[in-house]
Amino acid sequence: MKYIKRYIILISIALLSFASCIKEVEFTGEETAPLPVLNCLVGDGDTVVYADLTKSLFFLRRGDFAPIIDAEVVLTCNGTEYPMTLVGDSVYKLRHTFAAGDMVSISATMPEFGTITSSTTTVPPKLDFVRVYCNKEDGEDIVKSLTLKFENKAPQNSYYQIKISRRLRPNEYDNMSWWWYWSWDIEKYEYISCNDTRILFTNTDFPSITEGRYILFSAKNFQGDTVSITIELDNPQQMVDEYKFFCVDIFSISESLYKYISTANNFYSSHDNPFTEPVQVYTNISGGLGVLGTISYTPKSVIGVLDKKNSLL
Amino acid sequence: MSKIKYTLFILSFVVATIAQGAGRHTVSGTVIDEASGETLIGATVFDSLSRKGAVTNAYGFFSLTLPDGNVSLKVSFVGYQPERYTFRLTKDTVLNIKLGGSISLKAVVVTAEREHDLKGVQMSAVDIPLEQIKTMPVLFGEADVVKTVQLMPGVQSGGEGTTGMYVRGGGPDENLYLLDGIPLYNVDHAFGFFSAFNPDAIKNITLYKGSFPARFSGRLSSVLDIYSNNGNDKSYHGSASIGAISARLNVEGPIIKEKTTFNFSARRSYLDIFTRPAIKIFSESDIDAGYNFYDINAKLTHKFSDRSRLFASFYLGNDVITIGLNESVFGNMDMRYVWGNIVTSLRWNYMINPKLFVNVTGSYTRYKNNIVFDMKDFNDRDITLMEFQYKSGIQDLSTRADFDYHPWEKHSIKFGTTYTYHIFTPDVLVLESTDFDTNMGAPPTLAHELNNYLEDSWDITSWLRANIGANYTIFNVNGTTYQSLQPRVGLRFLAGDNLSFKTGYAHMTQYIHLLSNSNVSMPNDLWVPATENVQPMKSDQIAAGAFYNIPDIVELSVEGYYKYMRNLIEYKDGASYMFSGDSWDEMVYSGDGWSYGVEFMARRTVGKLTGWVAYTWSKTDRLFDREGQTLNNGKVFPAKYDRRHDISIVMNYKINEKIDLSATWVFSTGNAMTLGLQNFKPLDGYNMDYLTYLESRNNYRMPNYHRLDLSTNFKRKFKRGERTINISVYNVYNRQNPYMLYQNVSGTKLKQLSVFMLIPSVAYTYKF
Repeated sequence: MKYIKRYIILISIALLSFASCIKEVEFTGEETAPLPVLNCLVGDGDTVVYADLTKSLFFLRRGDFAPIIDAEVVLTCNGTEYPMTLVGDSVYKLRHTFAAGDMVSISATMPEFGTITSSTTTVPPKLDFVRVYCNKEDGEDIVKSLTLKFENKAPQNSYYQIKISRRLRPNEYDNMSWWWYWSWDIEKYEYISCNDTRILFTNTDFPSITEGRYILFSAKNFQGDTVSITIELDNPQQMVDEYKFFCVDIFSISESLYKYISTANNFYSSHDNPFTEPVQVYTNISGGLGVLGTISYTPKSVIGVLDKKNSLL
Repeated sequence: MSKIKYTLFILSFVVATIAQGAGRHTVSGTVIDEASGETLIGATVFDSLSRKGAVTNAYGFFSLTLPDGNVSLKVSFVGYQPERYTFRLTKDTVLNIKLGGSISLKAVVVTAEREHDLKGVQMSAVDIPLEQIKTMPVLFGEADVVKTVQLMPGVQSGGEGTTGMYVRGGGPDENLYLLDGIPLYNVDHAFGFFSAFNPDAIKNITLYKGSFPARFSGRLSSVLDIYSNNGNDKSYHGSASIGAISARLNVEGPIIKEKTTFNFSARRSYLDIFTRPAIKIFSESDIDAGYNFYDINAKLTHKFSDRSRLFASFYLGNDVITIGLNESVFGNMDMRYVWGNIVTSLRWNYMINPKLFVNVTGSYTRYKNNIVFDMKDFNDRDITLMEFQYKSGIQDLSTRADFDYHPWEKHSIKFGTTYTYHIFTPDVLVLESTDFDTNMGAPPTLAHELNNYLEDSWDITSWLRANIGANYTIFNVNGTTYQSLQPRVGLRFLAGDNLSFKTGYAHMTQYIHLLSNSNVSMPNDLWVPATENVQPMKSDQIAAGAFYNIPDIVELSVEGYYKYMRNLIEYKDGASYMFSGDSWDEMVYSGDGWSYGVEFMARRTVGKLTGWVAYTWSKTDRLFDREGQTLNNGKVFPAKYDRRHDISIVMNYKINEKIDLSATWVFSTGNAMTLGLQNFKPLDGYNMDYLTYLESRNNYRMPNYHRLDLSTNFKRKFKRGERTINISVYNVYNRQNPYMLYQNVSGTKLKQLSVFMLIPSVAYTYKF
């Protein structure tokens, strides 16, 4: 199909080529003023929280995003305000331990922009348990796919993010920030099933799969059920190398983070394609851009071992 | 008690009917062109004594009930010498009237009242002058029906040079194109740069933008009602034309004189002559590729008697891309991509009695989009290893019966019914090879549509006329049945011989959607039915206007409208137009929209200088705030084709019988597009460099569009015919209008793609 598209475009270009002209034009609108951008993630069990405060950049300019270093940033948890401290370019820090159910919001007051405020977000609860099956073909020692099962007892409007990685050693970062989890090797996941109903992965609840680094979904399709997700591995041959361990990390995430990741991913996968609709990236920062998200990491992540066939781990 | 009331009502109705009929008789018949025998649509038959009149229908038929006694009929039609008939009416009378002496041949100024003009009840409708279409300057000298329609007030074009039509805030899929009453689904050639209608084959074109008569349904925004020529019933005639892009041929004449006629038109482009070498030069592989389009119109008409006629018509139009890839990294391959329409119909007219006329039609229309992809053996090109086919399209089989009934002098009633069997084929993939044979994709979706209408054109008083009616449709698809009762009202208040005021209301329902990139007509544009997720679209439109004629000088009109539309569809953020497949309804959201505006038109149809000046001020917005279907954060945003100002000036000056000059100037507010004006830092850990802030959909305006086109026709008569040389210049002052804006590679500049700069062209036509 790619070739057909290519030829159609080629013919169209050929039709236009003897009559078309391309010129650079001046942007005719006013150069819009920069907006403050505040990004912050608060995790269940985190003892340190960082917020990043920068200025947006006019779309025809290039360069780094300018840090905002003269802001008063305040994180509010369950009604108590905690000032954050500037610790580097654009980064503000707070030492505080957060737990599931905490209601947090953040605000920043800047001489240039005034005050921007996030909506209040609740730190989500952890999931109950996780099981992982490594699926191999008979007589082979290669994991073709993984099947994950977990119960969903959370409210219908809860959201999840699953990340899978192959690693040299078992889970080694229990006491580190969730920030470290962002390395993935998984390349393809095929479908999700729920009560024997096969739901294709193109379901609209799974909008962020194109990058191949994580699965993002909401609970509304399987409220109260046992969820089973089968993830096919794109290049199973590589599993026999030294990266023997599959680490499956499941996060409960806030609605704000879900919407932000979904739309940001959608933007990133389509922004250079002229045949797609433009994407508006979600924000819950009033008066600015960015996101305050909350996240809860389920520490019972599972390690897959290659020498067991269809093992329940 | 209620039964008594009911009986009394029926009795009084019968008595009134008898009373109305007493001492009155009906004059009926057809109005035809004297020279060709072609029926004239919209000719006026007017009795100057009783001041009653009638207008001929699409088949030239009229019926006029008048009091017994002296009658003085004036029969007129734009461009023809009026005829007068004076006689004493004592019985029902059949008159077959021949109009002749076209003013193009004689320097006589003739005016006539038409149903869509000052005295008719119909508003928001405009007759497109066919002669103007053929003389106007156009892209590559290719006379184009739809591009002329785009110059009317309230109609906007999609993009530079394209035939996409946006009427009163509606989308390109909201226009119903009727060719001899049969819907045509794809009206474009060459990705929308030319329309599918060959002007040689056409007799009459009327555009309805609002206040739709009840007989029309199925689209929200407009009806372009096109009738083709029947063919000359006295002698053979024709024309041949060669232009920059295509060649045309038209032949017509009698098979049996004054009984059976034919009309045949054909057109083929020779774009492939240019594209084949261009692709060879610019492609890396050994590619042999070409593109062309063609269309054929054929019509047979047989007159059994003055009361009975049979019509058989056929239209075929296709665009074809062929690509042959030789010894490339992919091996040898052939691809043939064909998309286009077939429309065929059989129609029978019968005048049952002087007051009742019936038209029965059976028809088939099909739009298909078919790609055949052959993988050839690397060493032997004659051996096909695998064949891949992609098919999509829509087919309609329909039967309809339409009646014109003129029971009383003050009423002209139209009613009818249509049954349509739709076959939607959204996406079918066929893979064949020596090892396997597989069909994939969605099975065809079948739908049934029943449409009934009744409308009455009623002369309430000498100054007040109404057209009241309703259309009732039932649409069944996949076990779901939708119904819609669509009331229509039109009123005309006559305030003198040269001034009238009109108002109208129309409720419309549309059961099918077009999945398309709205700016460029792509062959993979897909017609799909309403589904459980995507409901039928609906609109309510009110319009009001004033019409003033300065006799023999100019016709002036001003109309205002407000249209509210529900269940419109828009693509979701990030959705792709390409190859949407059967999951299309997961890529769109439903929402509402509205449009309002004012349209001015000054039009001159007589004299040496003819043409029009049209101005439209309009505003069109969308709101998608339904739960789970939110676009633009649930806030109002301008529609893609929202434009504040549109101006068209079209002039034709006939210097003498041999030379005429034409000029067209258009101006419109720049197209809306979505442009993110600020980039910002994403959340760490998601491997993204930047995100872009889009304040709103369609937040930015491209530069304004304007263009001047000129053309001149040199005519010369010979013993056996007439030669015309048309010289056109498109975009005379070489305006670089924006077709598309995008950022350069470094992202620091906006670049504009302009197509169709100054383009001269020559066309040669010989008529015999």
